[in-house]
Amino acid sequence: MLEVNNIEVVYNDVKAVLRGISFRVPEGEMVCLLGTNGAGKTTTLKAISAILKSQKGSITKGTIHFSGKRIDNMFAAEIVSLGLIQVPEGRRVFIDLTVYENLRAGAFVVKDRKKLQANYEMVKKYFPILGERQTQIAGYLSGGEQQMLAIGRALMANPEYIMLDEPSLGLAPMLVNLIFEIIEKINEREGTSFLIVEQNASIALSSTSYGYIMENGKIVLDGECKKLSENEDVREFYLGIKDDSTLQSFAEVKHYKRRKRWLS
Amino acid sequence: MEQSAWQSFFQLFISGLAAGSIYALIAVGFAIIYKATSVLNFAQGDLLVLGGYLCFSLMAYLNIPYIFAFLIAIGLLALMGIMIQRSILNRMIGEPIFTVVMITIGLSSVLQGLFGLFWGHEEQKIMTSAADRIIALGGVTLTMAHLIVMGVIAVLFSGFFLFFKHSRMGIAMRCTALDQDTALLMGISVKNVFSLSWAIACVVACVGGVFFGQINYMIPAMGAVGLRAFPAIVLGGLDSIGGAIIGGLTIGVLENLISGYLDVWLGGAGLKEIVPYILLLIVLLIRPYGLFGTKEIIRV
Ligand SMILES: Nc1ncnc2c1ncn2[C@@H]1O[C@H](COP(=O)(O)OP(=O)(O)OP(=O)(O)O)[C@@H](O)[C@H]1O
Ligand SMILES: [Mg+2]
Repeated sequence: MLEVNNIEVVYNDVKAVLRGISFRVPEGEMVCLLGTNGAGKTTTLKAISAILKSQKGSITKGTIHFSGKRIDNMFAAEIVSLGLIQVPEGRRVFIDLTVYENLRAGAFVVKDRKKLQANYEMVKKYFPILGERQTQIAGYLSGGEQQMLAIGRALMANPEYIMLDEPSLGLAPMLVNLIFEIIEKINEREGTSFLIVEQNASIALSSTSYGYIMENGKIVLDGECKKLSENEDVREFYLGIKDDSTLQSFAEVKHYKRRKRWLS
Repeated sequence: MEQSAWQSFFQLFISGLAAGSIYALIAVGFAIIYKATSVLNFAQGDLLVLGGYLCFSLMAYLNIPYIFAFLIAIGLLALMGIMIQRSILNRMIGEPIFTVVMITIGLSSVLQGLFGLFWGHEEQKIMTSAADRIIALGGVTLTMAHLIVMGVIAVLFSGFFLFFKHSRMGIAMRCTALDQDTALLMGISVKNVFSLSWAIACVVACVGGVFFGQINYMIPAMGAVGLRAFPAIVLGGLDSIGGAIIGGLTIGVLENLISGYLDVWLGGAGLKEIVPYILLLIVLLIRPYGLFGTKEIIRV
């Protein structure tokens, strides 16, 4: 279980970006975290992974627990060793390294040679292309291949939990579907739990079971993904489907009403 | 025995390689630290002298045999590197680059002061039975020390290549150099990588220092060889280890060839001192990021 409890995050000691966020990802589940640009999704993941420090950010309130241990005051390396790993926004593969070296980097916490090999075989099973391209320099891979490498790299640590930050970013719809299919397969067969941050709400809501919606550093709505997909506001603002044909644009008034409803 | 033109060329070339090997050692240490931690370590030359002095003292005062003294000095310098990183530089993360450079320059002065205090200002030489033995190879004469330094460097650098290409820590160091935040996300401890970089750079410096102390001699201000290696560093590209090796060897050889052939004409020594800088100027005019460096790199 990953449990985030009422955390607040501040950058440069002044800028409050997360203002009391709580959510949980139960074992074996797929959970999504949706929200528009600047809502604080990436900041949430960075807070969990403990990499805020290098950006002058810090958790000022709240707690984070992972498999029964409090992790909000641990180092990044300890958290990865516990089995919680993040795939960063924009993939961030090590561009000068080969595909295989990138995968080795992902397996940094795996010291046993045999386990390393077993994890590599597992990654190749889900992403055969990474095996074919193992000696290629990662910087020359296409965007989709890089996303696969970024996920494969995280999988090399054989983690219990993977957090994905916008895996659909900049990819063609077909590829997005393919990648989500693979993620679902990994969840099903390896039992890996996923926390998926997305702007592409339709794909995220269709492949995860529970969702949280974030705005301005707060969770404004959460629920079963099925229910969320039926929610009028989610349909309108995140899925781009308008049920009320008389409405032409999302007016300020409507926005206010929506917030109120979500917060109640 | 009279040397033919070819023989004298090889003579100059080989002794240039030996001198260049030492430049290469300094340059590599510098590049490793810069690549991993973005710190310009102006004390690299002084760490080299420290290695030489330590080995010298272990042999001269404690009567420890050469090989063991060498190994102990290497160990001590590695520890020293880790200490410098942990106690001083870790606190400086996020400070302006200029501040950190000033700290390494300060470290350099402190070390030079301590050298004078402990070892005095007269010349000290590491004496080994083997080092000064003369070897003649087809009319080219060499000392054993020259041969050994080249051999050791070849082994050391092949070791580096394998380490950075295949080992878990080596790959982690390259990842950290490329993207610290993402390295953290892989569970790589950036702090440990920084410490390891300093340890390796100090070990390399120690090897350079011990050979320098055998081939030449040591005085406290000898760290200035660090400055002479500087063109090698920039020539190779600040962050390229392969470049540092080639830069060091090139400068050693060119220095020797040019002074060997031209000093006679110019009536005395001196050209040797400026050759590296002339070469550096020419290369930087053509390739501002060095021969092998990363293009976006900030120059000092
Ligand atoms: N290092 C930082 N220093 C100061 N402010 C920051 C920093 N990183 C992010 N922010 C601010 O925090 C807010 C949330 O940013 P965050 O990256 O978490 O949003 P996001 O939900 O991931 O957005 P996107 O969907 O565009 O990726 C933004 O207003 C952003 O400007
Ligand atoms: Mg983001």
